[in-house]
Amino acid sequence: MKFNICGFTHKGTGAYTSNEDNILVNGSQINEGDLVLNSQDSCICFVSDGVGGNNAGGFASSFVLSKIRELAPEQLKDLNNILYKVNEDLLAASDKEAGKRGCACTLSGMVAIGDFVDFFHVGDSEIWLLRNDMFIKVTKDEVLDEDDIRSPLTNYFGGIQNKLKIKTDWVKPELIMNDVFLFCSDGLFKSLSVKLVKPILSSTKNIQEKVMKLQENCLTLGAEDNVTAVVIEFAGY
Amino acid sequence: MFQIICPTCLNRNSFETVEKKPAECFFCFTKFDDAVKMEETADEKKGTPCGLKLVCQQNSESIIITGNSCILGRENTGAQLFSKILINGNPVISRKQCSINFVDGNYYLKDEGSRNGTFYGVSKIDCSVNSQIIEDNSIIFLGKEAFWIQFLYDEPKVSEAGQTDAKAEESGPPHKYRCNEGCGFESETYYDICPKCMTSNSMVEIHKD
Repeated sequence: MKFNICGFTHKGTGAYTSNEDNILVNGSQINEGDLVLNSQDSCICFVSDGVGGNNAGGFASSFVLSKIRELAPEQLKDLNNILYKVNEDLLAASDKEAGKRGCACTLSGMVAIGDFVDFFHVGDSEIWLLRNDMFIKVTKDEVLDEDDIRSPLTNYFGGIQNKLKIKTDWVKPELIMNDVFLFCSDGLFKSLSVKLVKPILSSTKNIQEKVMKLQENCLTLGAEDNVTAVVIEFAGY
Repeated sequence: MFQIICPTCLNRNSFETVEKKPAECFFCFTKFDDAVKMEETADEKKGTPCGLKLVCQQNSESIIITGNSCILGRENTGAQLFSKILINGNPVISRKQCSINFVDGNYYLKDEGSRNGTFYGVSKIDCSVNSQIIEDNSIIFLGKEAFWIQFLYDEPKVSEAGQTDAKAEESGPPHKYRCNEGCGFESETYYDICPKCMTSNSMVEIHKD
C-alpha cells in the first residue's frame, strides 16, 4: 500500500495559549507545526485532542499517542485491547499529580500495515472520507447532544473514572484507490465549513498545498479552538 | 476594485483590475471560468496606503502605524498590547521585536533580533535575514502570535475603542500631541513614552488651534 500524508496542528487564533492537540504519523509525533510524508508503505496515523475544561488535556493527548508510538507493528493489530491498558496507564499517571488529575483526550486514527487496515475512534475528533465526489463523515461524535457544539463527551481517554468503551461495531471504510481521508480535531470544522474543505481536498493541487490552504484558511478566517488536520491520500497497492 | 463570490465556498475574492482576475478561488481552489459573476465594488480605496493596522488574532486589539519607520516591541510601539500577550506567564514578544519601514510605496518587515522570531505568512518566512515586503491582508507572526495586516487608505482621525494609536516621528505634517494619562504634557513631537510621566503609548493627537 502507498500513502501520501500531510498534516498540521496549531493552537488556533483564539484565546487558547497552548495547543492541546497532538498528531502521530508513522512514528513522528508533533504538538505544533506541520509534517509531510510522501510514498509511505504503511500508515499509522492518530489525532488526539486534549479535552478542554479539564486539567492538562495536552498531557493526556501526548501521553496516549506516545504509548501508541512505542508499540511494535504486530501489536498495532491488536490495538483495541491495548488501548484499554493505555487508558489505565493514563489514569494512573494523571492521578499522581494534582494538576493532571482528571485530564482527558479523544482519539481518532487508522492503522494500515500490509493487508491489515483498521480505524479507531473515541470522542469527538473526526474522520472524513472523500471518494469520487462524495465527502462523508465516517465517524459519529460521541457526545451527549450532537447539535450542541459545547456538549460534553460521552467517551474519552482519562477523566476521573475509567469510562472508556472502544466501539468496534461502527461501519469502517475499506480502502479504494484515490481515497482521501481527513483526520481532524473538532476545531477544524468549528473554523471552516464543509463547503470550503471539500473543494480544497477535491482540487488537483498536491497534498501539501491542500493542507497549507486548510491551515491558511483557519488562520485568516479565525480558529477559536486548537485546530488539527491530517490528510491521507491512498495511492493504491 | 472587483470581486468574485466563489460559487462553491461563498468566500469573497477581491482584486484590483479585470486583468488581475484570479483563475481560481483563493480560499478553496475552485476554478473560475468565464461565466463566473464578477462585480465592481466602489467602496474599496486604492493607491498608496497611508498606514497599516496590525490586528492581534488573540484578543482582536490593534496597533495603527502611520509613520515611515517604526519599531514594534514590549518597550516600543505597541507596548500596551504586547505586554498582555503571555504564554505560561512569560512574554512571547521581545522588548524590541521587529521594525516596519515604509520605502518607495512599500512596507517592509524586519526582525530586530527578537527572542522568538518574526515571520511573514503561513509559510513563515523568517524576517531575521532580509526585509520582507508586507502585503495587504497578510498575516505576520511575532513569535507564535498571529497578527493580521490591514492597509489604511484614509488618515485615521480618532482611535477606535481598544486600539493602540502608535504614530512614528516622521509621520506627515506637524501635529500636536498630549499625554492622555493625566500629566497633561503637550508636544509637537510624538513620543512612544511620555517624557513627563513615562507612560507608554499615552500620547494622543489633539487639534492644533
